[in-house]
Order: sequence, then structure tokens, then C-alpha cells
Amino acid sequence: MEFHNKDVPGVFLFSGNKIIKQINRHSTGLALLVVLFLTGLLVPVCSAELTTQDVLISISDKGTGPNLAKTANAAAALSKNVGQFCKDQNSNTLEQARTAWKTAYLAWRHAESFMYGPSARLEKKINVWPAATVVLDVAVKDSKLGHMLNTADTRGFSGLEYLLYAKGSETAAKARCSHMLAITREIVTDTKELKTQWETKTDEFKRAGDGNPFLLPEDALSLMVARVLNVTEVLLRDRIAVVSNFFEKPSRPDNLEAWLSRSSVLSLEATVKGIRQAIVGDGSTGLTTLVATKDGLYESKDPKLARDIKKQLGKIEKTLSKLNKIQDFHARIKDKPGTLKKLYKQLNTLQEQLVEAALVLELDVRSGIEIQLTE
Amino acid sequence: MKKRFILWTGRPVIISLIFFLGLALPLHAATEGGIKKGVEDFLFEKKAYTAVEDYTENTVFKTIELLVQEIENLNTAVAGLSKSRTDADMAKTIEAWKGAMAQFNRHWAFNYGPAAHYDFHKQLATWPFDKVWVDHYLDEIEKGNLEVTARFLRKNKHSSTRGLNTAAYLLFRDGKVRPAKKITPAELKYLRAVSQALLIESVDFEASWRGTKNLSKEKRKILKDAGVKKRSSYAVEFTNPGESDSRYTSISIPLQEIFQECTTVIEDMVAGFSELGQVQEKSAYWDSIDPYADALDMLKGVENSYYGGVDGARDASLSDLVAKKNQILDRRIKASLAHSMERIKAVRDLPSGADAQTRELMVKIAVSECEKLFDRITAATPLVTADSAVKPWAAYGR
Repeated sequence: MEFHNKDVPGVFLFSGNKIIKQINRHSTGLALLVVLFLTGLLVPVCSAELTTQDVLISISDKGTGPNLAKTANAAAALSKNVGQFCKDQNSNTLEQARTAWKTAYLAWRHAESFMYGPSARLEKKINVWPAATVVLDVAVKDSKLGHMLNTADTRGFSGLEYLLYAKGSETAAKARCSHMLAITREIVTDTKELKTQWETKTDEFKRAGDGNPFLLPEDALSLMVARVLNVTEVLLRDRIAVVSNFFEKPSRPDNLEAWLSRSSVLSLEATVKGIRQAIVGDGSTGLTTLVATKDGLYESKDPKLARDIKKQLGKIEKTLSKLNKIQDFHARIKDKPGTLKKLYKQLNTLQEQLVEAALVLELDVRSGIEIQLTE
Repeated sequence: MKKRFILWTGRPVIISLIFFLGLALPLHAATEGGIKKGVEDFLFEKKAYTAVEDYTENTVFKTIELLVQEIENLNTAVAGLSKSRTDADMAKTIEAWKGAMAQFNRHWAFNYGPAAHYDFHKQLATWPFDKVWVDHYLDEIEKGNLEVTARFLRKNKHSSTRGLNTAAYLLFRDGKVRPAKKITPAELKYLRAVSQALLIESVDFEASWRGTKNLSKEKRKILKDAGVKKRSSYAVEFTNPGESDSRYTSISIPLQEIFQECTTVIEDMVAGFSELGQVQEKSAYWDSIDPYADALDMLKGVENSYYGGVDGARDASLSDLVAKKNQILDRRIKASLAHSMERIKAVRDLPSGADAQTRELMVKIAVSECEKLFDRITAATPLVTADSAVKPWAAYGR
């Protein structure tokens, strides 16, 4: 039988010895055919399907919505546990309250990349670090100084961590309880509001491009990418560079977020996980897939960049998992300010890659200089 | 003795060494930094000069050259139409008019210098044209009281009775092409004079930038026959800032002209284009024949300015200068140019039955894209023009 590529449908290639022999004889031609078939037919079919709108729906359904709900639920559990502790103060209820704080805080950090739009303002309300510990020590004991407990650095997650974890927290708990309850109530209200706000805006986000309010789907996506870039900037600047004093002694480990609860590295991990979820998504409907498959009007798709972003996230996660093994992170940063230098460089590369991704997708993510010069 | 000698000769050596290490080396490093900055500034300034030279050659000269060519085509087509008055001749004339209008709209991005000094945009396309005067002239021609010529139209100095918009009035009615046979002999005579006047004005425009002596023999003859006086080259002034015969004190100023005119074009275009979102009523006589083509050509002019030349003739450019200062912003400007044009085309290509809401949204999107482009070019302007390398404050002492 004469073997003609055009006569052999792909489905029959694996039936019969004769054909297998033919395959061997014509392996190069066949391999070429298969490659051509895959690249020429399958790849375009797969990639052509993903649109910016698909990515928005995926982010909304699998990222923003669930994360904000998780944050609100964790805050509710925190409130319950702190209430329990204040009712019945013992080491057991204190431990439960502490665990609930960690869970709530890590959920918040994981959700950071999804806090765009109206939710961004909450950053300055319930996530201000470091806590004003001197004020807290004094003001919680003296009702005349109660007004001093209205500032953001005596409230939110940082204030609550200090009240739950600082030395003597068990004995001084009684005096602190009314402020602890006030803070948790606030966190519950704010995270709930965050979730509700998102729920009312979800359709706008998913339907972006209808002019209510997003004129284009890319406008909504820009919002998310800008947020992720801001999160990386906060990581680089406030959470690493300032804490490490730009990797020179004397470092400032007291500025390390969540060091009292020994969850500083865990919280860095949570933020990076959030970034991964926001950027890579489920792997097939995320922003990186769009970078790999969608040509712009001026820019071209960049599959290599998409792969590099995923690789870079992997490197960062690996570094974090090593850092997580350090017993006393606060002491380590104090002794070795360069501990976070590698992570800093890796995050810096990731940030550059994300800027490039925003350019490839022709999103409207403005840099600081552009904003300064035009607003 | 020997020991003392070594001691005394050794001390200055040690002192010198300390001085060298402690003071001279940092000084050297600082000087090296200074030299590096000096070299960078020198290279950037050189790049800026080249960009302005190439822009003049490839954007300004080429755009006007193409404008003259299109107007020549219009002139030839009108001559044909005057002879035979067939619909085929009319179609040729319409095509030529569209070509001339397109090229005219691409010139807006350099509507400074000669264009501003001599109001060339008015000489070529006063908007709105003076319908009352034109109708009066047509009446007079019909009655045999007036022999209208290019000289008459130019000498009367009523630019509102000639130009591309007057030609449009004679060629179109209610936005549609008129049947050739409906154009009266008086109108044809008038159109002929208008197109001839246009040719003279467009060649004069070219002369203002190139200098009359640098024009081709044929173009010099057109000007001579029309009695237009010779012009010096504005390009010489524009590309040689800081020289005694240039009104520009440093290369920063021509660059400011180019950047500012780009944003002005976008601003003007957006103001007109926004109105297309409203429900369209029957167009008035001064309305544009093709507002989408107008907007696209205006943006094309901006693109040519930014990329440093018309299609196929691009070299050193503003883009190079912006990229040198902020590569990301340069890419954002280029993407924005592409998006602005694409969105205008999307409005143009809406099906005729599209509802008002869709139309309004599409226009909003196009306007928003153009506003982004405006913002990005505005952000790039000081990065280049206020850089110390291009001497932005030269006017206050060099």
C-alpha cells in the first residue's frame, strides 16, 4: 500500500502493524504533520477562545468573590473567638483567639490583590503597621485617654495582634478587652462591607465594556493589574526594604508586619499566593494565558513572558518556604538585615514582568511619573 | 642621615597618598560622574537635533509635498470635469478632493510656524466657507458680470470663498455627491478657479518651509506666474536653533512646538468627534463630508509627527527621544495611537441600523482612547523638552 499522508486520517494512525511500519518509515513526515496539525489547528482553536472578558469572569468568580467572602468569614470567626476570650479568659480561649487572628489576617493578606475599587481605602483603616504600642499600653488602661484609641495605628489587625500577643497579654487582657472587641467589630463590619460592595459591583466587573462604568473590558482588567502592582510595591518598599533598612544595619525588625504572632513569613506567603491567584488564575483562564495568546494592536502576544512570570512566582515561593523555616524571624532580621535581599530581588523582577504584561495587553496602568505629570 | 632622609622624604609621599585616596579619588569619581552626565546630555541633544531634522524632512516636507500632489490631481480632475461633465469625471474629482482633504488634515500636526504666520490652513480650507458670497459670485458669473479666476479669488483675500470646503459645496449636497449634470457651467468655472487657487496656495505653503529656491522648476513657475513673492526656508530656522538667524533659542523650543501641536490636534479633534455621539440630524452645509476620515487623518498626522515621518519615510523621531527617557511611556503612546484610530474606525463601521445607545457608547470609547493618548503625550512632553540636555531655558541666557 502506498502511504499518502493525505489519505491517512489521524485517528487511524495507531491501528495495525502495517500502518505502524509505515509510520516508522515516514516518521519525519508524520511528526511534521502532527506538529502542523497541533500548531495550525488545535492551538489557535484553544487560544482564540480566551478573551479579556473570560479572564474578568474567572477573576471575579474564582478570585475576588471567594477571597473577599473568606476574609469576611474569617473576621466573623475572629470576632466570635475574641468575644469568647473576653467572656472567659484562660489560656485556651486566648489561644483560640490568637489562632482566629492569624486565620483572619492571612485571609486578608491573601485577598490583598483583589482589593481594588472602593475596597482599596480600607488598607489605610484596618491594615496600618506598625501598631502604636506605647499608646496602646497606656490608653487601654486609662479611660481618660480613650480618645487616643481612634487612630488607625491603634486599631485594625496590627492593634489587635499587639493586644493578643504582647508580653503580659494574658494578665492585662481585662483592661484591653473593650478595645479588642471594638477593633474586631470594626474589622467584621469593614470586611463584610467589602464583600457586599463587591457583590453589588460583580456584574459591572464581569460585563465591563458596556459603559456601566467600564467602557472597555481592559479598563476593568487594568484596575486589577494596577492593584497587583501596588501590592508588589508595598511588599518591596514597606514590608522588605524599610524593615531591612535597605539591607544594612541597623535594621528595623519592629516594623515587620505580624512578627509578634510569628506569622511574618506566612503573611508574605499569603500575599504572594494572592498575587499568583490574581495573575495566573486557574492556569487556563488567567491573565498570563491572555499574555501568551492575545495580540494587541501594537504589541504582540508573549508566551515567554507568561512562562517567565509563572517561573518567577515559583522561585519566590521557594525562597519564602526556606524563610519560613527560620525560627525567630524578628531576631534574624535584626542580626542579618540582608535576609530578605534575595526575595526583594525576585519580587522586583516579578514587578518588572508584570509591568511588561500590562504593556503587552495594552492596559491602562499608569506609572507614578505619568500620574504626576498629567493630574 | 639616611634614616632621617627616608623619614623626611617618606612623609610627603604618605601625605600625598592619603590626600589622593581620601580626596582625589572621590573627586575623580565625581568628575567621572559629571563627565558621564555631560556625555549623555551631549548625545541626547545630538539625538534631538537629528529627530527635528528628520521630522522636518520626513513629516513636514513629505506631508506638504503629498498635499500639493493631491491638489494637482484635483486640479486635473476638475479640468476633465469642466470639459465633459460626466459622472465618471465627477467620481475622479470626488476621489481627488478626498485625497486632498485627507492630506490637508494630516498637516494640522504642524500648524505652527509658517502655517500660523500666514494662516495657510485658511488659505487652503477656511471653515465654514462663506455660502452667501459664493452664491452671489455664482449669480454674477451666470449673469455674465464676473469672470472668476484663481487670481481674482486670491487677490480679493476672501479665503472663505475658496479652499477645499468651498469645493465641497460645489461637489456635494447634503453630504452626497451631486450628479455631474446638475453642476451648472457657472459652478464649474468657479470650481476650476478654486482648484487653481488651491494649487498656488499649497505650493506657496511648501515654499514657506523649503524656501522658494529649493522648489522644483515647475513649482517655482506656478508661484512666479501667480505673482507670489519668494520665501526663505523656515526649515533652516527650525532645524538650526541657537543660531543667529533662528528665532528658536535652543532645540527644546522646536520640540515643544511639535509636542504641543500634537496634543492640540487631539484636543480639537476630540471636541468635534464627541458630537457624533448625539443623534444625527440632517447635516448643515458646513458639516464635514466624512467626519471619521477627518478624525483619522488628523490622528495620522499626529502619528507621522511622533514616528518622525509619513509611512515609508521614517527615521529618527520623537518616539526615540521619549523612549530614551521612558521606554514604557513610548510604548504606551504607540499603543494608544493604534487604539484611538481603531476605535474611531469602529464608530465609522457601525451598521446603519445601530441604535443610538450603542452609537453613544462607541463614541465615548473612542473619545476616551483619544483622551488617554492626549494624557500620554502630555506626560512625555516635559520629559523631553524640559530635559537640561536640550537647554529649555536658553532664552534666559546660554
